[in-house]
Amino acid sequence: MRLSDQIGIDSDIMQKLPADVVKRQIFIYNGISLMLLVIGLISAVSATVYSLILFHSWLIALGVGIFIGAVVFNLYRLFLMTGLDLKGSTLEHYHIKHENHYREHNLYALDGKVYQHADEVLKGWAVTAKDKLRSKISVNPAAPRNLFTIFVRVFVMALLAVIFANGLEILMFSQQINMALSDLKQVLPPEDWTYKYILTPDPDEPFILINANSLLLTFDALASGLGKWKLWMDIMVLAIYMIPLMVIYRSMEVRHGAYVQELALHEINKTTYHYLITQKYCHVIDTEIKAMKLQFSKYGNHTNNIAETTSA
Amino acid sequence: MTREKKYFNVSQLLFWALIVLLIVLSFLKSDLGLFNENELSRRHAEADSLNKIALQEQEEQEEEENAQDNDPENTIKRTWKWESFDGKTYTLEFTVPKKAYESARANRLKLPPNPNCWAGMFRHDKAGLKDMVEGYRDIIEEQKLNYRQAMQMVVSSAQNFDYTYITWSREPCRNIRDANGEKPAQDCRPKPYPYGCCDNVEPFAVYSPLEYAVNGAGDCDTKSLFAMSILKYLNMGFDAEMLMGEVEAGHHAMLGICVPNPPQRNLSVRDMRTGKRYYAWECTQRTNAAELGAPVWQIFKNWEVVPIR
Repeated sequence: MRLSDQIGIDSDIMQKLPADVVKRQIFIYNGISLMLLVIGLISAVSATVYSLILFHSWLIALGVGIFIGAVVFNLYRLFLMTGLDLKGSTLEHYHIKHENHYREHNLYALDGKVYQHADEVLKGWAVTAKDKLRSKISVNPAAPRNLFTIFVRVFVMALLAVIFANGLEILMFSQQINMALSDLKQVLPPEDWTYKYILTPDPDEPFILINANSLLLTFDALASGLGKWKLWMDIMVLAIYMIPLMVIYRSMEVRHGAYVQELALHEINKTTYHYLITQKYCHVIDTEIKAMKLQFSKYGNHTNNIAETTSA
Repeated sequence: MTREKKYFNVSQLLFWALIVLLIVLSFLKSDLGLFNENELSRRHAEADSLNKIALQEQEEQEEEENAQDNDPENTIKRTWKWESFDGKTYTLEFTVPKKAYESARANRLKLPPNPNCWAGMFRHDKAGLKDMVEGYRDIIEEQKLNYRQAMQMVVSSAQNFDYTYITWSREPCRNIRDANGEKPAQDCRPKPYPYGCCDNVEPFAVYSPLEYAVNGAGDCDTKSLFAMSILKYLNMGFDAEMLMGEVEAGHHAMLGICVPNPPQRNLSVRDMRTGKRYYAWECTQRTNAAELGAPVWQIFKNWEVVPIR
């Protein structure tokens, strides 16, 4: 199983492309898949850190971490795969409205005749039409995109990135945070609420990773300890989360790449074939129905079923 | 490589470079000094007056622990003699536990390489300087010094030692030149011109107040921090802070005092948190800012108050 299969890439549809193009496309989608797996892993680790502070249990924390990691991975996969559209490609004209394809490749002229041919022949016509369409492909790199959908995707991923960046930083600086919390504990009177309920562990639930019961206090320790470095670390994690989206939207190899074009051609081909098959069987079923001599009278005056008709 | 291919390859490279950087940072975080562990408790103490009381209690406890160690073999004895601005000569004999001196040095090395380290030293050294502070208090009471005289007496004691360059690994003594292009002496002791120089004083080229009390070697921030710390430890209502900014000689630190009716010629900085105005007092020269004003610098820009709690 290829790595690119993990994000839903079907490399079989690129059979008709030159080997070097296929190799490059698979290399790119393998790379993107690996990035998404790493992002999922970062999210899982970060969610585990948050859960450890909240629940003080490795079992729960790992469960939550794996669940959140899988959710983020699949969400990102969804954002990426639905971001692969045909804006700027001549294929968009046929992909959005298949009638254009049928009209240009004379498939409408076959209406009423397709029943005379075997399914394999119809499949061959659909493939021929697809190959003709492939030769017409051209792209306009400057074609405008739907900025709203891009904004929504970038916003959601940026939000997640900032949330998970904090978890990652807590893990990285856990020792230092614990030292800061220890200092804080020393300056607080023992009867202080924070001292008693936030910085003192429950006898049955010892602290794990961070010696505090509060996420907010942990954030406070992290932010005050790191100072301006926190911003830089957040930006680093943000960049990590944004790079796959940038690749999808900005790389011509992906946006107008061979895989996207072949995927569109594959979908058009499937629809065309099913259109022809539908035409064929519509004719066959229509003929059969007409041969049945059905009488559509009111029930009560006449018994209307196939068994009676055939027995008569 | 075509431009099309370049985009994906560069993006992929950037992605993995950032991942590697994160991993490297997580290993080197301690060495790089990215995290200041003292900042949380400092901010907390600053924000909550009740916690300030608790902080004081903790320091008093440390004080008691150190005070138990009165064995002469375990203490360092020093005698300071200086002339204040009132023309009187003061003598101060004090002892510092050796353990406290070593602890002050160890504490300094743990602090961040930025002005936040001043607060860490100030908080740590109070117990070790207890005897010295008592000595200052005795002088004030015996001599019946008023508010300004007491302040002048403390600051003049910090100004009394000759200037000593305090440097860190980023700027060793061999690279130092004064305004005349002269190299400092390779001697980490206060001495007349050419002044001495102390190398590798990490993390921020500043000695803690306790180290200054024992060695007497200090430059702008060491002397100012010492004077400010003593004024605060005395707990007699002196309102002093550290000031940092730029003068014609470059980055500089001075003692800031908040006094009523200051001399008009004085340079001052407003603390934006409290609205108070702190008047700059140069501690590396014998200047009397509290009464006469001390405009020893012509250029005075980007100055700010560094609150020490």
